[in-house]
Amino acid sequence: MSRSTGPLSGIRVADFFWLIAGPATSRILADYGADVIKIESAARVDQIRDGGVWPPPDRLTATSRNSVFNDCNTNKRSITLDLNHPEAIEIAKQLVACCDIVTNNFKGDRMERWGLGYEELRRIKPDVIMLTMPVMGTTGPYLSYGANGNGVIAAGGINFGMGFPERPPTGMGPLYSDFATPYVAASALMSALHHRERTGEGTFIDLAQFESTVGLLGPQILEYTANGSLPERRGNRSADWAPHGAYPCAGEDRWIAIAVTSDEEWVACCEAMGQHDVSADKRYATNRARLDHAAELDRLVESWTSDWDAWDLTHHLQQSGVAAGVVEDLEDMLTRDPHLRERHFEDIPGHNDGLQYITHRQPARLDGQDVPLRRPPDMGEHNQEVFEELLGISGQQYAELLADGVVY
Amino acid sequence: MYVPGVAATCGQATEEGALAGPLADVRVVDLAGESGQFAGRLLAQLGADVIRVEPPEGSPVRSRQPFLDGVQGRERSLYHLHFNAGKRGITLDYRSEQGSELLRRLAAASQMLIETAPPGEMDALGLGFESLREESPRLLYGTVTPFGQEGPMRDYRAPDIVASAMSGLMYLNGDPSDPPNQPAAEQAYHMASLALVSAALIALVGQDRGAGDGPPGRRIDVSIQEAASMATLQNAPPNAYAWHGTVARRRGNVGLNGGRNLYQCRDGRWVSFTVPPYRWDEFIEWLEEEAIESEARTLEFRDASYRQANGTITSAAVFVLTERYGAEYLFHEGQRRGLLVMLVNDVEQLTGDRQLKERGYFAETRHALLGRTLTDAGTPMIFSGERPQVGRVAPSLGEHNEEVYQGLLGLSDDELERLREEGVA
Repeated sequence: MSRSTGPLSGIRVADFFWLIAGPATSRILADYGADVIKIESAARVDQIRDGGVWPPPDRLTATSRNSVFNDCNTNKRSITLDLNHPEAIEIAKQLVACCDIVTNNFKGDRMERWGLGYEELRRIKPDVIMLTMPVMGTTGPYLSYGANGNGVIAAGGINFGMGFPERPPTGMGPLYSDFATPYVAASALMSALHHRERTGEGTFIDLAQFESTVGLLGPQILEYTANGSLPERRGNRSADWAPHGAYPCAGEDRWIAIAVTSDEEWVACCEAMGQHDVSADKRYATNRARLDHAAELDRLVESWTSDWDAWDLTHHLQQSGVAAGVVEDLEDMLTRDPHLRERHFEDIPGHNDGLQYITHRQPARLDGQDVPLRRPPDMGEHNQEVFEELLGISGQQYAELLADGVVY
Repeated sequence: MYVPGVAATCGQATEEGALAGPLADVRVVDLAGESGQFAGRLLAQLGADVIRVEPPEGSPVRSRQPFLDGVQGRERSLYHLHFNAGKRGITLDYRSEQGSELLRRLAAASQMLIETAPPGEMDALGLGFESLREESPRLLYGTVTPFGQEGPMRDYRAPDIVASAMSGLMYLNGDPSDPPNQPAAEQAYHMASLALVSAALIALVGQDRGAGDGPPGRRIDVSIQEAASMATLQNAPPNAYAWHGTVARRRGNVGLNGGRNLYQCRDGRWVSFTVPPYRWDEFIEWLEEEAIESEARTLEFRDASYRQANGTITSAAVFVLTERYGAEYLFHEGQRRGLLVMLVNDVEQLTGDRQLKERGYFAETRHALLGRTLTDAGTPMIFSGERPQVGRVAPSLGEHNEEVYQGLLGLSDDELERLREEGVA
């Protein structure tokens, strides 16, 4: 299947990624037009095919059942090879010879033990770009250590600096690093591709998910190394501005985030809430004064917001020049938010049973270069197509590979 | 190999003495406010020549906390020193007629431009994508705005906490009995910057390879809301709502496996402790060796869905371990057994982390003006054995005016002097 649109059309990826952070990386490439060939096997099923949220039982298809698997693998092709089989390794190598990029997130020397390490692949494809992105990287005392997304954000320091004072750390709910690291990894891959276009050289990229996560701490590391201080847990308060927080609205667990970052906004906020007296109150006239009264202001703003519908108040405050927004839950995101449903989420047809599913589009639009979304592949769905088109494997040979368990 | 304190060997040194990464031939004009500054930082780490453009009085970012030694000053904001590390810096009032012309010339000498102005503002100044395209047909024009360039809320404002709220990210953080919690360190801004860098570089590669029809320049339109919402996909999968009407809520310290996520250990430190399904036997073996009685050791728990439904039983068994041992021991011993145990690190622990140190992760740069050596997070990847080093601290206000205006744009001494007098630079 040739892909003719998108800035990455003509770039082919031999994709050994599994789980989430890896496949979410190659999904980015696929969304901008790369031909991503997911290499998987029934002998070692990508666990994400099996976990998470499934369609209702009467709508189950053979594979691709899990919502997150779909999100991470939309727009890819899938082939199956049992890499414990020597002939499968040979086929994988031939496939690499047709690819620009090879990706994996195995820890340790898994690819080397298959004979698919960078040095070996360079012999087959001298300018190959190989990305290996285990949690800890490919060197160092902890190189064999593993983690899921929860563990990476914990290790990476994000959990420590958030939460409410005097409460145990809960950190981030979402497996944040699984979705942030892919954009770091895609940036690394594109830098290497650019370098290849200029110099003809390939690159081995060693990307530790742990390191990419530590890189998202903002000035916290400098704050420690230069000032010797650790970040305070401030809940939703800001060191720079007040009021700044999540305030209750009408209904159960409904909230609005409000951030007042200038004196003009403070006046606008008070006026929009009908609080002329407060607007004129000298105690709150400057940002410094507001920071000194942050707790008091939080209670005051709470008393203003709690009878409002969260969406009504969002529009009312924004139209009055105040930065404010609903703390959206999934229902808001899918049914009430005018941007996310229009720009971000798209229904795409699933398998033969006609089940639709929703997936995201990339958050960066490239002018006029939208690539249509295709549902994620069933396991091995593109075996014959890929083997024949790229490797010249005939129907007869394919049947033998199947019978021998090489394609599995 | 990178050796801390020794000049790195990667790439060729550029004329300014910085060490080149794979983007050494790429110049970026960085007009970004706080929501998009991380983009330029990452591009500089990848080797690009990022020129930060500030108004003559300095960017508001220079007044963000914290400050070096707690002392305010326009060169002392650690927020500025972090996000603008590796960039060159000029002052330019591009809202003036003369300044606007200079910005056009700078853009024409660059491959990429990054801006975070409200939609329409750059167009009104004659500096939007379409107008710059005439003289810079290859320019990659990156915009970061709260909700993107189109749509009914495109003019709404969204500092990080508001973008975080409207992306669905904030709702999922914290204990159900607390208000939803903004992620630490402005992650909505980080996600937006990451989405911008990756897409801009994708567009650059497309240009390199001659992909697409028409003029090769592109606008890269990033919505902070959308970028941050990417992180919700597993905890609040859209299809959970579409298929089952389920709306995910924040779970506090409960992990997706139904058990706890974080545990406090005997020494007071915390660990993240997950038993992956394929290591259940190893976990049970550990419980047996420790003589920990638990229902988790019964046959029913060999079934993954049963375990899922009874996550608290597993958690109770882990609690016994974490009450018995310190975090460091559990980290190494858990990993030795193939379990996913990680330390909950604070920044002090990170700066002493053996793995990060041995891999040469931290970047040390000398700030001559402040007379200090600054140690910060380094480039988050290693290219063929070399970690690119930026070797340059964040610019002081107007530090590279002469270099850029004269060296790059060819202005004479008199012309530059006039710009200064007129308050343009």
